[in-house]
Formats: sequence, structure tokens, C-alpha cells
Amino acid sequence: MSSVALPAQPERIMKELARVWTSLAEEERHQGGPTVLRACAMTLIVATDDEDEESLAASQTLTELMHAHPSRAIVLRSSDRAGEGLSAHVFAQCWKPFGKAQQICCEQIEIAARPDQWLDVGPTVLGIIVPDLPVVVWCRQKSALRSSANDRAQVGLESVLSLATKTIVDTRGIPVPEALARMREWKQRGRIVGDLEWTRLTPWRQTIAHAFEDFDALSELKNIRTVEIAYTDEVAPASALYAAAWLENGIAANAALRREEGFGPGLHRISLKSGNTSIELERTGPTCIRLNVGDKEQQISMAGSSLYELMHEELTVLGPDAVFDAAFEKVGEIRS
Amino acid sequence: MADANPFQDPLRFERRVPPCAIVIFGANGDLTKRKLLPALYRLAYERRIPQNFAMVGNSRTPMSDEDFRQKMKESVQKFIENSPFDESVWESFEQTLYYVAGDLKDTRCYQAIQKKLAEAEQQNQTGDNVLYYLSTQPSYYEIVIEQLGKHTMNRGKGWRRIVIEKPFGHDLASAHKLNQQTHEVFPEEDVYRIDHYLGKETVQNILAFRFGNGIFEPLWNRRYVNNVQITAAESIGVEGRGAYYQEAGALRDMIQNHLLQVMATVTMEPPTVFDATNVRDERAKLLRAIRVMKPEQVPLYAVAGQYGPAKIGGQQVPGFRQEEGVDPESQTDTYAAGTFFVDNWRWAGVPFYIRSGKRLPKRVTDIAIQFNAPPLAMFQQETRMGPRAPRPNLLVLRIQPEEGISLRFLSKSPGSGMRVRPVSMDFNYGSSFGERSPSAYETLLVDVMTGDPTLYTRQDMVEASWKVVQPILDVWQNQKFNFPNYDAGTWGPRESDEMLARQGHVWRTP
Ligand SMILES: NC(=O)c1ccc[n+]([C@@H]2O[C@H](COP(=O)([O-])OP(=O)(O)OC[C@H]3O[C@@H](n4cnc5c(N)ncnc54)[C@H](OP(=O)(O)O)[C@@H]3O)[C@@H](O)[C@H]2O)c1
Repeated sequence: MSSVALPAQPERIMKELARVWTSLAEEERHQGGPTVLRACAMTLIVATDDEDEESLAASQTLTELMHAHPSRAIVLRSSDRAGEGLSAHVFAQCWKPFGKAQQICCEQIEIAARPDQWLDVGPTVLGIIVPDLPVVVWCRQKSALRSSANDRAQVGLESVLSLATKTIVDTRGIPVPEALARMREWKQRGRIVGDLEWTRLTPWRQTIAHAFEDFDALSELKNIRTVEIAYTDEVAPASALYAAAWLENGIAANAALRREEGFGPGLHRISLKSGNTSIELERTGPTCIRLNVGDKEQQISMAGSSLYELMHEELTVLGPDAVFDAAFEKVGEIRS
Repeated sequence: MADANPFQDPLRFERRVPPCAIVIFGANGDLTKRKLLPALYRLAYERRIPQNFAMVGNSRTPMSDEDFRQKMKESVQKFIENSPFDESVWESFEQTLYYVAGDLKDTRCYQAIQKKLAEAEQQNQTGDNVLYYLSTQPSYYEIVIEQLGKHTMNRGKGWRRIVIEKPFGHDLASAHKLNQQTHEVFPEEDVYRIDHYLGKETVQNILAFRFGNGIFEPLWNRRYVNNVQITAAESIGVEGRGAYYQEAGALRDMIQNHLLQVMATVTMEPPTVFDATNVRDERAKLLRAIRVMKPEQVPLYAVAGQYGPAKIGGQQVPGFRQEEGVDPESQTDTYAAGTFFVDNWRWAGVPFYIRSGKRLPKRVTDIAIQFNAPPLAMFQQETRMGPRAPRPNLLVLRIQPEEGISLRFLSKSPGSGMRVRPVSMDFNYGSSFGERSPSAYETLLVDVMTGDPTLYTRQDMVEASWKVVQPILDVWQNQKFNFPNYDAGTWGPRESDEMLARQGHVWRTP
């Protein structure tokens, strides 16, 4: 890792990156090992700030993601504690796949700036993204999803978002109407936006989709009159609203949302009932959902819900996502 | 037509198993414990097994359903790779496992299985779809298929399919006979001959590499390719399976099935559409185009080998004839190599060298495509023996253990003067970055249960590949070899190097 902070100018950063790679290769040659392998499938930009309480977990997730999605990672930190001007650190994240001789390395660049200097970030980032490959922005700045955001920071962030092939946010814990309004604005500008609150629904949605595959009567679908969605949070989280919207897109019934005690956070239970049968999914543990179809019961794993797995799923869907878009369109009609 | 399921999301949901029951013959065996059950459990963990599913195991050892479930749980915990074991998912999943003890030679066994299937159907509503999986010794294949027919277990309201494990036949005649017997009971579209190599992510990646990119295909022919070398090496010996291996040998065990299929994947014409019929048609066409050797050509184009004892890493390892259960005079090939030619416009005249063996220096499977040298040798390469014309481009498709692709090309050595040296540009696939990719059995099980035979071998493919190796088997059968002819831990017999030298080539060291 470069021990000194560099001025965040694209040429300086790129030069430092080249130096890091050369010294890595030299190190390996001295040890007589095969040279390092460099891999890159995208530029992954993580925008974070002082408010990001889980920034440590996020940076671990970023490292883990490099295995399946080798990238040039650029961490943009907005911090009141940052010094004057933009500064950058450059280093390589290396690991040896289990049992293999060759080391695999990905590059990471960290840029810190005070909120009022965010206007300068865009041009720097533009100079250091990997050419010809997708750019994904994982926007962890909650302020980005609020209407009250500081103007200069907002404009600065906008210049970064405008580079993105896809922007990934997490609306958990953010006032939902504001967050959805901001996402709607982005989408109206033709941007592709993913929300981890939607990704969290995958185990639930997949289980429901499968239940209808088997259901003697897929035709029974039109007889479903009751759709109930329960959550454990104080107010309905985005995941509950998305679930309701998604279900209403497939069933001619209105979903009722309500708060309930039980395993959470977030979604706790989904029930669908017709005169003849019922499908119920209830979270029964940190990693488990119980599925009841009529009187048959099955335990379903919620595999796929860790931060790493959520991001991994989103990074495999970089293009338009029609199912999410349809649910997002509908969500405005849902009453929590 | 039924309405479409409005909740499907193919972008995010993996394909899942439809309602069905699977009957595994040989359920107390190695393959079931090591591969099939861990694969099924993993599918359950990934929410890809429906409630309406059942698995009925059969072998002779008496066990209750409960005993069987306990045994399978232990196997899954032991053999599952890169995957967590979730107790509550297992508890649900094991409710779908049933067991019937019985001897395959006994007709009562099939009645008992029928009864168990009916019970499972009642409890789990499997839609009366049944998959039979033959994971028994090959000598039982015929008996089981015949009995399934006699008990009308090959028909029903739902579908009936059958998976047949390798080896499919012992030679061309027995493969042909087995095909005929199978077809008396199951039509070809319900017969799934498994070749787990084709289920490997890496082998499927060859298709993506060839037909997803536009820049390689124009080079993929006799004008640019000098020769192709396919290597499947194992460092281990026969590991207690000496008695079984003695009947097979490397040519039958690896080349006839896996490596000829790999060769077909590398050399087939692009299918017009990526579906089962088109992909398999192209594979079959290629296999039919491989030149069949005349008996007098066999000594020139094929080499058999058997390893003798040696010291590896300071440790004495036995020769094949010293392995347990092996005849001390055994004539079995633990190494086989062949030179094959494809008689079509694309490949005429290009030698394909295939080798496979046990107790070679390391475990590796790869395909090396050696390109022609440039028409004019403009640069010299410095070597210890002085300057010489540089070695031309080499493209290596690595299947295991480090899946990936590397391309060797020339670059200028730093410094003054125009000296060149080969450098290798390496690419490792996602799975090499530590990401879990599905096991071949997970892929192939979902394929058969959803009725997709793309990665399974068809009758004509199996027979075509037997036709290719049959003359070699015939000549070897009547020959007395002076075995052992290579030391454990080396790259095989000298004759193999000589075989390539006759064409002006050398084996590369993987
Ligand atoms: N093992 C592998 O990795 C592997 C790889 C590729 C292909 N294959 C193929 O897969 C098949 C199965 O291999 P495997 O290694 O699992 O074989 P295996 O270990 O010999 O298992 C076969 C099982 O069948 C049962 N059995 C034997 N005779 C029987 C009879 N008369 N009636 C009912 N059950 C009987 C035995 O259990 P009981 O003693 O309880 O009856 C035995 O455990 C073979 O065709 C093999 O060539 C195996």
C-alpha cells in the first residue's frame, strides 16, 4: 500500500498503481514464484461517509467480492475529518486461491474528501475508471437518498453516479418515501438502480414462485383473495412494500401490510389465501423460513442474505431488471 | 395451455427441479455417498428442490428409512464441498428420502420399489414423474432395465427417464447391445448417458469461449493450428479400485468417453442454435469424422503403458502389478496415448494427441492448441543452446485443477537489440477466484430432471467413440506388453514420445 497520501490527480494515481504492480511482480520473482495475476471485470466504486456505521463490514465485503468480481475498486469517502484537498491511497488486494501457487491481485484506490469538496471528485474518478468495462457505484451514503442533502456534495455525487452502468443502494433504515422518490428521479433519467432491500426478497420470491409451479392449480392463483405481509420494524420497510407490489403484479388482490412480533429485521411473514388453500412463509430463525402449503411444511434456507451475497447477486445482474422495475413502478400505489 | 407463472424471475432464480421422484440403484455405494446425495442436498439448500420431491434408494444392505437417512446425513456432512450444512434444511430434505433393501436379481425387489414409489407419490405428490439412476456395477444395467420393463415401471401418467453411469459398454459390440436392450424399454429421448466431464463448468466454458467470442474461431482450423494435445493426468494410482480398473484400463476409462467428448467440444462446428439437438448433432458429427485406425496403424498411432514401482518424494510407491487385487501379470494399460485425425475440411491433417494416465507427475487436465509458426522467422530467441527460431503461439485451455486459459506469445526482451522471448498471458475463470461453481452432478441432475439432454451423450455419440477406440483395443488384446514400461511419477513411456517425434512434435510439459 502506498504509505503516503497522494494528491488525487488521475496521472499520479495511475502512476502509483503501475508502481504497485511492478513491485508486486518483483516481490514474487524474488521468491521464485509465478508472477501475480491481474484480473478485472469492472470498476466498482464505493461511496461512503462518516454516517456509514458499517463501513468496516462493507470494506471486508468489498475484499470478498473481488474473488468473484475482480475489479478496480475505488472507495470514495466523504468525511468532515478529511484534510484540505483530495487525497488518495493506492494499494493492491492480493490473495492466493486455496491450494494454488499463483497470487491474484486487484487494485484498490481510496480517495477522501470533505463534503464541500465533493465537486472535485467526479473529474478525478473519470480519469481512473477502467476503460471499456462496466462501472458500478455502490452508494452507501445515506444522505444521497435524502432530499435534505448538502447541495455541493449532492452535485459531486451526481457526477460520479452519471458514470455508472448501475447504481446499487440500500434503503434499509432510510425513510422510505424519500429514498424511493430519489431512486425514481434516477430511474427517470434512464439509470439502472438496484436496491439491496429488493435483493433481500430473493429467497421469499423464489419460494413463492416455486410454490406456484407445483400448485396443482396455478389456476388457484386467481382465487387468492387475501395477501398479508408482516414485518417487525416500527414502520414498513422497503422490502415489505416491494413484496406487496410484486405480489399485486401477479395476483388480483390488495396486499395488507402490518407490524408483527417475531424474527426480523424486515420481512417476517407472507400469507396468501384462497377459499381452498393457503401458502404461508414465516421467518423462523436468522437463516430460515418455514413454508406451509396447505398442511405441508418445509424448511427453506435463506442462503443469500449476507451483505456479500446480496452484493454478489446485484453484481451479476448489471443490465435492466424488468421484474424489479415493474415492482418499483407499482410500489407507489401500495399503502403501508 | 396453463397460464404462465407470473412470479418467475429467470434473471435471478436458478432453474429448479420439477416435482418428481428419483430412484437410485446402488444407493449404498460410493458414487451415491460422494456425489449424488451431496449434489441433491446442495440443490435443496439453494431452494431448488420442491416440496413435491422424493428419493428412493436401493441396495442389498438391510436398512430402515431412518437408518438410510442417518447414513446419508453423515455422507453429506463428510463429502459436501464449499458449502455449509444447514441442520434445519437437512431435516426437511431427509423427509423425502426413502429406502428399499433388495437384490436387483430378485423380482420382488422391483415390486417393493413400486410400492415405495406409490407411498412417496401419495405423501409428496411427485406428479408421477420418475427418474431411475443406475449407480450400480455395470453388470446389472441390463437386468435392471429389463426388470423395469417387465414391471411396466417404464410407463406412467408422468415421465420416466433413466440415467446410465459410465462405463457404457465394454467395447463397441457390448455398447451397441446395451443400447438395443435399453431401447426395448426406454425410447432414446428418455435415456441419459452421463459423462460427468461434460457437466464440468470448465468444459462448458470451452463452448462459451469458442462461440461467445468472435476472434478465435477464424483461427480454429488447419490453416493456423499445427497440432492439439489433450492431457488428463492423475498423480494417484488406483487407490483400492485395482480390481475394477484392471478390467477397464486408461483407454476405456478415460479416452473412449471423457477425452473424446472433450476433443469433440474443442473441435466441433458451431451449432446453429444452442439447444440439445443441435449441440449433440455437431458433437456426434465430429466423433464420426475421427479417422478409425487400421490394425496395422495401431502400433504407430497408439501407445499403452503401465507404471512400475518407484520412489516419489522419498516415498516408495508400488507398481500397478503390486496394487491390491491386481494380477501380478496384468496387461492393463494405466497409461494410454493416441494420435487421432479428424477427416473434415476444418481439421484434415492436424494431429490430435490424447494421453491419459495414472501415477504421472501431477494431476492436470488441459488442452493445448499449438499454432503454426509465422511464415518468416524474423526474430531469434536466446536459449541455453544458443539462438534459435522462437516457439510459436500456444493456447492452453485448462480444465483442472486451475481452470483458465493462457495464451503464449512472443514479446521483446527489455534492453537493446531485438531479442524476443515467450510470455504467457493468463486468465483464470471465476471459479479460480475462490467462487463456488456447481459440481458436475448438480448441473447434470437438474438437467435430467428438467429434461435437458444437451450435456448427456446420445446413442450415436457413444457408438461413434467406441468405433474410434475399438481397433486399438483389438490389437492390444492380442499383444503381450513388456510391462511395466514407465516409472510412477514420470510422464509415461518412451514410446509415447517416439509417437510424437514421428510427426516432428514433442509432448509439452503441463
Ligand atoms: N465412484 C465413482 O466416483 C464413480 C465415478 C464415475 C462413475 N461411476 C460409476 O457409477 C456406478 C456406481 O459406482 P460406485 O462406485 O458407487 O459402485 P459401488 O461402490 O460398487 O456401489 C454399488 C452399490 O450397489 C449395491 N449392490 C451391489 N450388488 C447389488 C445387488 N445385487 N443388488 C442391489 N444392490 C447391489 C452395493 O450395496 P450393497 O452391498 O448394500 O448391496 C454397492 O454399494 C458404477 O457404474 C461406476 O462405474 C462411479
